Amino acid sequence: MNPSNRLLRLTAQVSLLIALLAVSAFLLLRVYLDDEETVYDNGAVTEVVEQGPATIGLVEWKLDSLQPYTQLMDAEKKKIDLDQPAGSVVIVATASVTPKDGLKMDSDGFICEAKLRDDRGNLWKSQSAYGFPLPTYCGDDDHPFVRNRASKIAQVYVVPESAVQHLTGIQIENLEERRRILLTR
Amino acid sequence: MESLDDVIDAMIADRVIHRHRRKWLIAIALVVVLAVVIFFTGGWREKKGRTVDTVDAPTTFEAGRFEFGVTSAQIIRTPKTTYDPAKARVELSYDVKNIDDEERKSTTLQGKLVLLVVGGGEDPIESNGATCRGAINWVFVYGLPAESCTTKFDVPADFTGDKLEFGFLAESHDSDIGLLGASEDPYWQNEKAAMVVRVPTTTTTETK
Amino acid sequence: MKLYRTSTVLVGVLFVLLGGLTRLATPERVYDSENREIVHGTIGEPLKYRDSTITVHRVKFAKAYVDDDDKPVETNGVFVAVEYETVRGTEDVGSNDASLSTDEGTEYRPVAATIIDGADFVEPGFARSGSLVFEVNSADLAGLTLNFVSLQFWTVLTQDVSVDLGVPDDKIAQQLLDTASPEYVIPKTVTRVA
Repeated sequence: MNPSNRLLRLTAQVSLLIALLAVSAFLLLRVYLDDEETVYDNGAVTEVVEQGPATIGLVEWKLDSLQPYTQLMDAEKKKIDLDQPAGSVVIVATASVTPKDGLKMDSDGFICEAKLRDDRGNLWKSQSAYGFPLPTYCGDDDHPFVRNRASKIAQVYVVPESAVQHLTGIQIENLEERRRILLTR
Repeated sequence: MESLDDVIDAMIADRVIHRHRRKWLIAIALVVVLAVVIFFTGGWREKKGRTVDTVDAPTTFEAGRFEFGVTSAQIIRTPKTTYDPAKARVELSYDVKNIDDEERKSTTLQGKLVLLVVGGGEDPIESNGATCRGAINWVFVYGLPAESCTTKFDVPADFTGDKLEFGFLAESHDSDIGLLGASEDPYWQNEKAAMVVRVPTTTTTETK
Repeated sequence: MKLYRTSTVLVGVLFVLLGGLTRLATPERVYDSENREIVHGTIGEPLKYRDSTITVHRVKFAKAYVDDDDKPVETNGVFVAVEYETVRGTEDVGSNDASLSTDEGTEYRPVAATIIDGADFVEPGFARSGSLVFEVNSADLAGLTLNFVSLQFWTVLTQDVSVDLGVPDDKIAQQLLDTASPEYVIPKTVTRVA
């Protein structure tokens, strides 16, 4: 075994060892560092966009308005049935949504849900408001959605009065893209 | 020049493999052929027949964390109506008591623990859990006396029999192997056949 | 055929060690409940559950219970109804399971509830009242404690709540049994601003 052969083999072995150590260290520490999945799971907002438009999950969103109401009326001027305890307020967010190419749209339409967020990190889920003039979900047969065309929708929330001054905007999240966007008014 | 390691490796290779190359190839070929044959003939599981006791109702016995008192069974037929086809179901009447001395926990009786044995190579039919005092999926409390309950089996509309066989499975309080990170605390699992009960069965027709 | 070279063996051993370390380092995959934090309390005490609270308001004993307009359900033991209220904070609360335990180690599960078999939480800033009904062995009541066990698996710190229901011994248990009402009607849930 001549010395140069030996040296060559030793170098190969040592560099292999270093490469393996480096890969293992990277895999070990990846969990604590900027792992997209962990960041998403922790509930962090990934982008903040003022009003929009912003596209997430092949749907383009634009926040049109965010208004508080004491109660909601339907087209016949009758009060819409919502669980509104004393001291709470109804918030209506209106948005223009555009389903983009590549989005799966079947007989159930598609998912267009936004949560209401405030500056303290509180999140409120939208409620159904039967009879509201605008559709509150994107699978409504009465309001068909067309690809690449913007349609107006509304998201209805019930929040305590004290939360109104803290509201920042609506949050839309997508698990596959690991993104959460916040549209502020 | 080769190192001693290399020389020894070469010697082992020569003596074990190279000199008996043909025998090795024949052995491997045999194993492969055997595997293929066994695979296509469905394995060699011997038919052991029934390995649990068969008793006649009425009877009381323990099975895992339950004590069962089997009383009677009924085949209930519903005749064909304008909207529905003819149907039949089997209802077993039994007393169930929670005897879980290990965990002393309230629990429901899973449908898969009580089976209607149909025979003829068919799979047994699972029950739908225990219905007691008119409520389904009754929660049995450890320490309370047995409750009188019924359970239902869906059967073909032409199902008949005057002495049906019901199989009862017993869970055992075992631990999992902690090798891949599973907890080693024991829990009720590994249900095995414990008893088969022959129950005299009456047939009635239910008219809506 | 250099299977037994020292360096090869060392690399193999190193891999195994690092693999083991990596598994220990990822908290999501810890199945054992070694890091459960338990908050203890009594009836009437608001108990912290993350940044939400659970308060058990009262405990009632009854010989039968009625859910909605169904027929009353009776028992050979006794029904223990626990009425509670939750106040939802900002953090996610996940789901939880409710159970009763006694000094003898017996565990009882809910047989009926206002909505779910655990503490029910609603949107941030709102309080929700609910009720849980357990069927209990009247001879095994000493040390009756209400437990809420959280069911989330993706956080390292899981939190449970344990409420002493004020039945320290059999004598008190007997008093409660003697004064048990014939029927308990499961109340409807009430939501209000906290």
